Amino acid sequence: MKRYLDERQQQEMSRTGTAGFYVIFFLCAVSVIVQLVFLGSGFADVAGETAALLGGGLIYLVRGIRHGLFLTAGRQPGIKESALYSVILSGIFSVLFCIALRGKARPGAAVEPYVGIFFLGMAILCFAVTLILGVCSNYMKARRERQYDEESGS
Amino acid sequence: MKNLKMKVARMEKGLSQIELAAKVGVTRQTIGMIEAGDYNPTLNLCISICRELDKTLDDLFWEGA
Repeated sequence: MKRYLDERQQQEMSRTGTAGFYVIFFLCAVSVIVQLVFLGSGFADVAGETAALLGGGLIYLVRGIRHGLFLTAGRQPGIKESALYSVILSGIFSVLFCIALRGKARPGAAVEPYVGIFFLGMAILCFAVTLILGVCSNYMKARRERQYDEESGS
Repeated sequence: MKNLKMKVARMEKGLSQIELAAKVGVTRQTIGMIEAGDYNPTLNLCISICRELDKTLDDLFWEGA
């Protein structure tokens, strides 16, 4: 097959694509949050953005993990980092969830228990997912290290 | 850092940037950027360039050579 781009052009296209991906991902996420939390839209209204986020995020994660590259701040997250990120992110999204609930609930309704449950559930889920992804990523990294270990004759 | 050794070797061979680019399968801009020191080529491309210019990797890409 004829190649239309040389190696430099491919590298530049790759960098351009990465930058474009981050911008699209960020804008989609902001769009979903703004619509759900501040504009009172339903889930059906943001189904397109959500599908794009899920699809793009899934490919990013799967490809990263396949190459043993599940990193936060440039390194493999440990248990402490995973717990910290989970609590921070859950806290941020719980605040947004609280705002959305307050906007939809009748005045004076107690939303705190629901927000508390949401925070706890999100934190546990986020922590578990981060840990599992880290373990999978470490496994793939170790497998690659074994595969290309000079002692094994590869 | 500019790669003057590659530029000199190319001129000694009587090749233009376009001709060398066509021989190694890249664009003229890529050759120009390598010579200007604005792009680090892969080892495969370095070897291709060396073969076309009848030079070694040391001759073209090793600073102390």
